[in-house]
Amino acid sequence: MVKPSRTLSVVSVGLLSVTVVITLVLLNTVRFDGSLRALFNRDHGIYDHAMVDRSKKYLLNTLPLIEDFNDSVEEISPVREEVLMQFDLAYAYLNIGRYLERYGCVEPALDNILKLRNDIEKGANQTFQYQIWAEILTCYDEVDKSQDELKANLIERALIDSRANQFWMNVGVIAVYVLAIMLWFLLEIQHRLGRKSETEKEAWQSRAMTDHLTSTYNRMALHETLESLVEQWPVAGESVGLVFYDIDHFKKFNDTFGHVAGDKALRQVADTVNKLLPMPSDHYRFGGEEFFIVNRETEHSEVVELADQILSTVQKLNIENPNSETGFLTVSVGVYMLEQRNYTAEELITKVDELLYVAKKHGRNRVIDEFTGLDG
Amino acid sequence: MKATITFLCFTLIAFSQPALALVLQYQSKVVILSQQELVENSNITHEMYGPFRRQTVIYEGYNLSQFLQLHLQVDAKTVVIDAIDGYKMTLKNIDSRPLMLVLKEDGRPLSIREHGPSRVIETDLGGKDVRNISLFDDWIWMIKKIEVVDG
Repeated sequence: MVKPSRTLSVVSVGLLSVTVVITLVLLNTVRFDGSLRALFNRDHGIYDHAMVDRSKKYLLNTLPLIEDFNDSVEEISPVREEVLMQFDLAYAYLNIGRYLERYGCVEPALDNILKLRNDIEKGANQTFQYQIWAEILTCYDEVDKSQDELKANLIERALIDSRANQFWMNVGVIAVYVLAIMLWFLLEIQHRLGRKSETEKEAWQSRAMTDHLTSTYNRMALHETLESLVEQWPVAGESVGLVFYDIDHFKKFNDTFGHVAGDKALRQVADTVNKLLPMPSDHYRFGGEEFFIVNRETEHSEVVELADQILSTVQKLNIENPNSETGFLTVSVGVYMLEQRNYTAEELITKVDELLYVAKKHGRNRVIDEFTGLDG
Repeated sequence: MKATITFLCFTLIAFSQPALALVLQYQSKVVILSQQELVENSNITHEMYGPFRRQTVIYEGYNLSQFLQLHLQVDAKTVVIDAIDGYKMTLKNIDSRPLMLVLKEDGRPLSIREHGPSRVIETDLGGKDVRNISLFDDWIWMIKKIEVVDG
């Protein structure tokens, strides 16, 4: 599984929180703006004056017309019709459910408008009826004033709501950022724990695969390498050489010089061989005084040459070993080239071990490979 | 010439039409209906909350699309409505909206004082806030003329 990078996580958390905050602000703005428009729209808001103002305008329209036909001797029918129409319109715009419901003066005012209208319709050349007009106009003022008060109250309530809204929006924004920081913090902890765990895992794996005395890989690592090698083999253009070497008469060396000296000799030999190994090669301690080398990307002749170098270099260490024919510590080496993938790891080890056995049997301090038989 | 004749026709119609008549027009076709015949022929009834009345009202009248189809033989989509008080409004997509031409309210014919003689309403409030009458802009009062402009 591919792990998301730390930068990507931080950027994602940042973007997410910014998006949530912007959405919050936009939603809030749209909601509040919509409610304000619905309430305070100049022409149609809930507490507007449009209807009552229009009613008043139509009523006042009748005054000059009434004056006209009052002064006339003859009845002027079209004017009278126009007056009736203006009265009807004045009535219609005051005859609104919410005015009737809210203001007690509206119903009497409507009756008064109707009375004035009906008088005109009946052909009366009326004098100006101050009392009725005063009642109607007072009602308009009352409605107007109350609408203003309602509007003021509503604005105040809207402002209080707006402040509360603002407070909760700020809380929301802070909460989003706190959550984002917490999320980032958790991601960071998880990242660090993951990294620590991986480092520890690698360290444990390394320790589990390493021989603590010689610092070469151990037998478990050898098995894993060989199994993997057999599974993947053949890889185009790659030839693999297996080298198995053993320090001659090492048990007697230990008996003679003690185990501390034996361990030192093992370290010296392993270090010396390490320096000879070309890349890519791996060096394993098979057990006791036996070592194994997996030499990749190499030809048979090169592997044999490496084995010869191991043989001579170890001898040149001049580690005294009275049990050896040369008087110094020597090694015997078996060399085997990987040929097919049908072998198991154990079978491969056996193959090389057989060659090492041949080297031991023929007097030690020599290299035996599968093609040339006895060598050196 | 054609324009002059049309103007003269409309002038004649205006002077000859009965009081509180409703004028319907589609292109050169003009139909004038008296309020009396409109009230008498009302063919649908609908009961709903009236935002301007603040109470439930029984409306009687016509489905607007079917009414225009019946009198002008046109499937109207857009109409321009003139009101007695000078208000003028264009209504679109009327063929797909629940619009009703109302002539009676709670059994009584509408006069100008009750926002008549005819009125267009939406028979489905569609979840609108009935307190907010600004949402009922398409409820047109005191209609005197309906002209189909997009049949």
